[in-house]
Amino acid sequence: MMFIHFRIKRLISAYMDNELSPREREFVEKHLQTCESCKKYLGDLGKLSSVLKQWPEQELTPDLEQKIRTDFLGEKYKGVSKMNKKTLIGVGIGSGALATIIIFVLVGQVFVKAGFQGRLKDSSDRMGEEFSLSAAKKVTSVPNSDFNNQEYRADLERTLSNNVKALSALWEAHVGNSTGMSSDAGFSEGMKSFFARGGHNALAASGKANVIVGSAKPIYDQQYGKTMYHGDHEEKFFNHASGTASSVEAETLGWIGESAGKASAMQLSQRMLADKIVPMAVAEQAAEGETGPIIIQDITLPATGQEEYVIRNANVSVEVPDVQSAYGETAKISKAKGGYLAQANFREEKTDEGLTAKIAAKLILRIPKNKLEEALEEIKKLGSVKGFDLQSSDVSKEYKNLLSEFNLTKVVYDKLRKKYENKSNSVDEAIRVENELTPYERRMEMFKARMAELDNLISMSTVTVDLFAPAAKYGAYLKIEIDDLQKAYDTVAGLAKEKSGRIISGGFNQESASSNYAQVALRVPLNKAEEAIAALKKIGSVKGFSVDSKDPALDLAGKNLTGSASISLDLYVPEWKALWRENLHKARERMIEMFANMLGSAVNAIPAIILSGIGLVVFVVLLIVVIAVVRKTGKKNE
Amino acid sequence: MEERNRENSNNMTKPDEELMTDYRMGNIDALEELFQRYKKRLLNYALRLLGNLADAEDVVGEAFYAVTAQKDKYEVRAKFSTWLYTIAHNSCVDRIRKRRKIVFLWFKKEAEDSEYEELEIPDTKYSPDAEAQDNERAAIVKKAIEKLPYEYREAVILREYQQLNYEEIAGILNCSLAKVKVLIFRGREKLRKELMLVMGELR
Repeated sequence: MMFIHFRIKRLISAYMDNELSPREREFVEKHLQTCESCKKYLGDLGKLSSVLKQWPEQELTPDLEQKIRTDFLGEKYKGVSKMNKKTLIGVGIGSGALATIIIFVLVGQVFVKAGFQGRLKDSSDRMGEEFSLSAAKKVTSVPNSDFNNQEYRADLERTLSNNVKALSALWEAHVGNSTGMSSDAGFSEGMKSFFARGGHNALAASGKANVIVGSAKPIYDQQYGKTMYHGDHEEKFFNHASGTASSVEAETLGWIGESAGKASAMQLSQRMLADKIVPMAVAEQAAEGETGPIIIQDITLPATGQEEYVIRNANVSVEVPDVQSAYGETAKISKAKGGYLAQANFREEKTDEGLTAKIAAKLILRIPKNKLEEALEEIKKLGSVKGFDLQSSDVSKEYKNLLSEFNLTKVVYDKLRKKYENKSNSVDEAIRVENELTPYERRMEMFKARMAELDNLISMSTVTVDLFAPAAKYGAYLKIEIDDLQKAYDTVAGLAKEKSGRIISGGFNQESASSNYAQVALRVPLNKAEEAIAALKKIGSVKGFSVDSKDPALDLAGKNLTGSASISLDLYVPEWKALWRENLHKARERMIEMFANMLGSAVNAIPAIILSGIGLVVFVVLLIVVIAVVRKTGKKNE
Repeated sequence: MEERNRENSNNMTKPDEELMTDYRMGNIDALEELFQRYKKRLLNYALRLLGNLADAEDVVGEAFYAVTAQKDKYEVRAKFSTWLYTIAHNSCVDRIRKRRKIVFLWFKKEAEDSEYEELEIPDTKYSPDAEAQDNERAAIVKKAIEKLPYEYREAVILREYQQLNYEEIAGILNCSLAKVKVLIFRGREKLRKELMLVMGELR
């Protein structure tokens, strides 16, 4: 019967506001004729209305009115939100500008140190300019035992984490030649040692950079009486697909022309290399007979065209008995497959009646593509799958387009750079050259970035998992008067756990005597609902209880019940009790103080006696006061 | 001058929507009339919802400013009062959100007290004794209302104090009619429990 009344009360509330349909109104009026408690309820609502009206309206003083009027007519509120936007943009631009300036200063310093003027002249130093297009990535570890010179490693790490332009400067400084003018020997020395230590191999094997080693050797051809140039390049890189270090080579042999010389030979073989695989920075003319310079390149490009350019993503919806544990399991699965949890959120959906309709979680995982199927199988096992789909998209066309765009841009860039090679080398000129080249660099960066993005999407599949628990079939409400909030709350928490349920939301406020209550919402499995409610009732004195069930035929004593029950609790300490406790606490404190004072003055007996006498009197007086206050408050609440 | 006066006196009988149209066409007196009609309602709505006069003032100002700024966006089909209340409601919600970040009203007694200080219980026409008692009662009611969770509080205020019907309230709060019913019902339930003592004294 209580169950029906719960619903009717709500109708009565709407009835008082005249917001019922004719049919509903008829029903209510009929009911009111016979039901006393509902009639009283209606009366109470009416009384409530009049009580509420006892908080009268605030009148507008003429001053206030004038103030408001001038405010809105004077457009006081005009700039508020716009200002926020402007401030944001301003801050954005400001910080962007600041960052750019800082970068320029840092790079500029490097230029100055390296003697930028000299660089343009010196062939071996041209490497500096060329690397402006790749932002070097940090080398975190170089797993080659040869390369165990700490200094070199440290230098390399430091350098690569800045713009690679600094690379040559650093090596030069390291090798001890800082003029920047005739650093052929010095530069080669540095590189020789680097090579000797297998630095380039280590770098490639680390997977952090592609290493291109090239050279051009002059060969005198007896037959033609000409000097031929043999240019060859080898690129070492880390193949992500196979997980091994690999290399590709290209070479040229031919008479290119004396004036063109070694540089052209090398460039030609490079171009062949480029056609074979991936774009790369222009190589440097090496010192004669020596191995060429190392070109370090950002590794975000995949090594070869051997990998599939397919992006695969999946969506799964699973109904699980316990969302929180399923969530944990899913996160574990993604980790075990070498992936990670990118995003997760929890939500709770309530129905009108206040029954928690759904607890749900949404997770976005990234799983390495070769483990995708496995991961999906395991996730599906977590519960009953309510939805699933798998999508693949082939991006090889886009990828290849990007690649060729990149290469084309590079060709133009190289040509331009060559054009400026022999010009004058004032700092101004140098900067102007830089500015001309920059747009091309930027375009290449753009292509590279997009390819990196695709690479990421290809190599890691995105899986969206929707977990949810079925709706609560049963809801109960309890209002309980208690003695001690903390204790009661803890008991409830313990109870929830014991019944394999959990607290959905809850909190309490115990700061003052007048607000001493807690509201807790918890969920327990249906088959434990009856027990739980019985146990909860024992916590204190039950002042209200009602039950709402979506299924009237639901038998809580039934055996095979699945689903959960939702219980909301209102716990409170009656005001007089709280006050009493508060005051008792105060009185107790004061007593302790008195006592401490008394003990302190135990030196002199007579004062001690006097003091203890006073203390006693004070204590008695306080006790009387406390009792009086408690009585008074008790009366007030009656 | 005479014509203007005549128009002004006509303004008092025109419906809100028509006044808005007039205002859109450039008649500032129409806006003034709307201001007069709604100033007290809006102020009290915001005041009860937010608990202090300064904020309520600002909300009213902002709402009317929004009317001037968005007069072209207002659809004449929509009810003016609903539109105006919705603007005020949004302002209040913003304020409450900001507040929550700084002071959690429930759990700081100091904050509660300071809130009370700002509101002046207005004078009534009753005798001094009754006045004192009324002030006390008003304070109790105010406290009970403030204790309500925000959603319930707003629904109850709109129904009991602003006397709006459920449909309008649903429009302002941007929710379903069913939800409005539940909010009001639950708000009343909570208030009933809080004010049981006070209600008991009423005969």
